[in-house]
Amino acid sequence: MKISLPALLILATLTALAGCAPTVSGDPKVKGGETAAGDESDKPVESPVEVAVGSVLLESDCPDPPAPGSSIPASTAPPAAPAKRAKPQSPSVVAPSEAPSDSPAPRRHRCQQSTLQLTFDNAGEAPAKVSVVEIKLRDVQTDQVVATLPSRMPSKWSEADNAYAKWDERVAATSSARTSYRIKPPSWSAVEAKLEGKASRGRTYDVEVSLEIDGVATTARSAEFTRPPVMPMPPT
Amino acid sequence: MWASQTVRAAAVCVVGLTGVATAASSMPAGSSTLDTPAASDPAAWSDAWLLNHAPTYLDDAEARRAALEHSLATPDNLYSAMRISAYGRGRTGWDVLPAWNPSSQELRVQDLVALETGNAVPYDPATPRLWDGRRPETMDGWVKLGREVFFRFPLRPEPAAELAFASGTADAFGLEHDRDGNVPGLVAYRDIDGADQVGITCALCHTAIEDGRIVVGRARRSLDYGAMRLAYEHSLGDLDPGLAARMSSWGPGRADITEDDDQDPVAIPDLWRLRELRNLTQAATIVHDTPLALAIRQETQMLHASGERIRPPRELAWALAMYLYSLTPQTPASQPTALARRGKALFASHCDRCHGDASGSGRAIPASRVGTDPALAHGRARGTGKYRPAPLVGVHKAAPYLHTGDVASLEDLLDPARLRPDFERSVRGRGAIVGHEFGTDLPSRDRAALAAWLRTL
Repeated sequence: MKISLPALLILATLTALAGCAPTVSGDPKVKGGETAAGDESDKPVESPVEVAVGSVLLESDCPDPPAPGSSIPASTAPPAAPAKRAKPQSPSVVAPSEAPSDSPAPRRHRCQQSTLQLTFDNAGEAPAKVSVVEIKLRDVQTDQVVATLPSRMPSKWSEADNAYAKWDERVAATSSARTSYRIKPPSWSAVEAKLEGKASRGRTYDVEVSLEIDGVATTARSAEFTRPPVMPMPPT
Repeated sequence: MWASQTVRAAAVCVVGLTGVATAASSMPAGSSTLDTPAASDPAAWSDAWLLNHAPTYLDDAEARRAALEHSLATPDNLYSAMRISAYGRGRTGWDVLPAWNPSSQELRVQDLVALETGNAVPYDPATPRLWDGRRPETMDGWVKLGREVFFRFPLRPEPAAELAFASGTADAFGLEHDRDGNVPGLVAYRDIDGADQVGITCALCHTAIEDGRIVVGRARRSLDYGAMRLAYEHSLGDLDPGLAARMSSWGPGRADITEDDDQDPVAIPDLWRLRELRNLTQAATIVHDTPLALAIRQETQMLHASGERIRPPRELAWALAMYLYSLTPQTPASQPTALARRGKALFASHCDRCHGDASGSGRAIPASRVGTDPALAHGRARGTGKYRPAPLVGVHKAAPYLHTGDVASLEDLLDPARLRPDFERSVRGRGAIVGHEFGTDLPSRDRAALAAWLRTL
């Protein structure tokens, strides 16, 4: 193999890049029964279910939508006729507080729901029951847990529906479940209080998810992410 | 179709842009090693060369990860940090998200006007998914699929566009339709939670309507996204004054799609002859020396726009990249006159050092040297400290100029009067337009000659 001088420069650049890059804390994909930190001295029985964090999005907490598959938001007044609807329509909407109460179809603020995406791979011969016990938000710079984030409304990706659909938190034998949970974002002012008054924006965080899989405790950790330094425009 | 561009692209590599770009362009497909190419390897950026890279991107997670890291000009900005943290990690992060092959239909103006009367989003549940699941084997096949992605892959719902049609203000915001009533960039679709939506696609910003026809790749310079969003927020009441001021400042043809805030809108770029560009984004955020750089950029943009809850099938991201590589201006530039030929010589002596690529772009330049508004180059979102020299393909129809879209004409760009505080012809009102002073010190007849040459590109 011939390596030119520019190629060596690339290699050096890549090496430097790798050295500078933020890294995912621990191995975010763990088997049930292990801890993210991999505590070898107290290792419980290994579960056939692996869990991984796909992504975390911390934005708003929006009114819950109707059951997946419906096209009419729960918080929108019923349409006057089957072909009619409120406009514009969204599954995640927040009514302006000053909207007239007698308005049949008030226009709604867009609302970007905070979510956590988890993937479960069950290599076992039996179905597994999973549940999210706790989600901790960790400030990476100080290695401090700054909030816990309640979760709700588990849903699972359905290839047939091409959408997330309500899920009973059971993973069938020898199968995978790509799932999404609604989560409540932290009170950022409370986070800043824990950070001794430092701004929460522009800082890097990750989440540690505590789960039970068939009654056995396990954890998974997300990739690191940065809260944007400035409030971006409202999501569309 | 691509023969002339292939030769030109190869020539670019020979004269050398940067050591990194030249060496990486010779990386053999299917490998992330730094071997020199065999003599029989197809020419860089030819169709065959691009096709050789497809399996690497589609099937090799480690190569995707390596390509991502290689393509980021700096790991420090938010764009890079987000991707380094979550992309190409194999059994965790974004790779484990479900692949969404959406079902959507392009909209016609009558569909959208119907919304005004309260009709449902005109989504037909029988609409087939965008991709049939079969991986194309030819460049034509990829380009055809990529066109579908460009026009039909919903990036996100856009109630502001819906409202614009419902309130009769669509034309004023640049939500145009062609002579047949097609509204490029707007689709009806069923979203990932099962709700029917009107959404936007790549085509909203990267097509224009000229003489009633859709011109793919040209920036929608009539699109006033900020004003459209402002009208929507205003309709809800309780409008934040700061937000209102920022949205008002965008103006037609500008948008801020960066990760941090909405305060640095840039001119929407044309998408011509991307094979020849060695940097992507005005801030040169991405090193573009293999097609994986563009495919990853598209994949992660689609993923991020969907709230990071799904990813596109990689075939769709790759197809979109191949489609973008196929775009070239359809309108011929003017033929060189004697004046333009003199301008060509002036260009070679005054401009070619930065705008020397086949596309008229070149190596990224420190923002301090360019002298224009440094906010984007030094911004936390995508900043690298540099700006990419603007490509000059079809530049005669690319006004307003500079990355901020402040300069109304080529003549004004070269006119020293624009540097003075009393300049009256700025797109954004009275005042100086600083930076990129190159050429403004030339005699007026030379400036006219330069402008004449630029009109031939």
